[in-house]
Amino acid sequence: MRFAATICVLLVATGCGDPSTPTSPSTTPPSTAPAGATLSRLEVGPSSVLGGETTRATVTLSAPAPASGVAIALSASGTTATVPSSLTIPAGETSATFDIVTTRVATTTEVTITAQTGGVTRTASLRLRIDPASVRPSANYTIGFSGLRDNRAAVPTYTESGFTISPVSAEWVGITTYGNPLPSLQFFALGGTVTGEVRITADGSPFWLRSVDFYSSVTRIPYVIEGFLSGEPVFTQLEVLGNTFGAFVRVPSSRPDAPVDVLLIRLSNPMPPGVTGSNPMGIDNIVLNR
Amino acid sequence: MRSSLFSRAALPLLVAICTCGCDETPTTPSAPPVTLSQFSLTPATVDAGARSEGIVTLAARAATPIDVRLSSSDGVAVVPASIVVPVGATSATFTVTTRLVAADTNATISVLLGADKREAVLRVMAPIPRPPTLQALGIDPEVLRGGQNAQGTIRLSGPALAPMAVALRSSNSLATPPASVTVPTGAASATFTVTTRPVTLDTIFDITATLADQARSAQMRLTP
Repeated sequence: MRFAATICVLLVATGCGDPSTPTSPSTTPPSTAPAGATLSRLEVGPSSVLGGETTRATVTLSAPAPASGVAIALSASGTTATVPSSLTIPAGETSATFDIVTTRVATTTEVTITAQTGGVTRTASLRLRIDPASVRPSANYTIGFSGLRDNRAAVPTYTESGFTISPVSAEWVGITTYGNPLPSLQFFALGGTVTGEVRITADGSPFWLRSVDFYSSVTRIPYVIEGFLSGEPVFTQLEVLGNTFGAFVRVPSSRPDAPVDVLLIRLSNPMPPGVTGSNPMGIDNIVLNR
Repeated sequence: MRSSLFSRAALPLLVAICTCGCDETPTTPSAPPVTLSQFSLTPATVDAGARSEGIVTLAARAATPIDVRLSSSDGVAVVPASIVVPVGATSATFTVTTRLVAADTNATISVLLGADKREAVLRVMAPIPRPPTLQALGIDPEVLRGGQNAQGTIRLSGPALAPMAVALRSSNSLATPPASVTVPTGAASATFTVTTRPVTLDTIFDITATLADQARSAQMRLTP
């Protein structure tokens, strides 16, 4: 019977259905816009600003406004951006601009600006970025992975002190038999170079990296640390540490003064091909401010 | 019994056609499965952060949209989950984006169409200073009378970033190079002396220079 049902669905979808079946009602209400002058575009530029800055938007008609002008209703989602409730495009004009006033934001905020007239709605996106000058650290945290209880258990995501550490590449496991102190977060390479990456966030809030401890059993430690704030790169730190022969080494941040809301730590585990066994490489003691 | 089984199996299809009421032509038997012909990456070596383009070629034109699954062995190279070869086409391209890394990394990019699989290796080069490699070893003269000295020269692929010691050895104790020669910072070559002892017969042997896992050899001949 499953085959029969499939056939019917396909045939109905291609026009075999009962022609008397009513079609679904249109979701677009009837247009009241003057003939030949519909709302064709809404553009915000710049479309990404620091919260607290003012940006501008432009509404454009498809044809010059009639003698009475065209009134356009405006709105913004949320409470962090303010637009005039309406504007009028004067007779003979095809566009008008208006200001969008924003407020400072604690997390990156996406705002939808909406313009509506004659049953036609246009939307545009505005990103409000965190102003780094407006945030200050108030507390210190050390992520020591104390919540990892099961040795060699995969860690899909880990949360401690409000920070979330999510593996991006390679399989990261909790190691309860080694750490600085125990436990630590590690991944392994059997042969060749394997990239292991973790992503650190704090629910969108800004934070500061002070230092992180790295470990490799038998190899040098090539690493990259990248910090982002509101999707914009803030800093990149790239280095190859020498072989520590199994000891943890503390790496201070090159930008402890720079707030970020996403931190990526990428380790290259360079186990030479043909070498027997696997090389563990790990992270411990991520010192952060928030 | 046979008749009963036939009726039961055919019933769903008959019901389906009758219910829909269309004069649909019965479907033809499915075409043989499309297979992969080629897969390549251009370039096959990129700087970390740069892109490479993959091209997947089918063995025949696609009669229907063909979904080809993609994967990468390493997080340093990122590929879309799949691409579609459109109807009438034999190939499709996709972009491999790479991440910034601090060590050269090989990522194996795989394309999968049914059970048909092709792989290509993308080498991602880290933006780190690279020590030069051992390019050549020369001995002058290559033929000399036993007891005379020869001059050896090693040449690197570029200036040394720091003093680089190159190990030397001879395959015959009749000729002796120093145990090593050091290329100073900023230099791309260094010379050394090979001392020899008198011989009663023509003697051919090798001088070998070794730098990490790279070795270069040059032949010498001593005459009486």
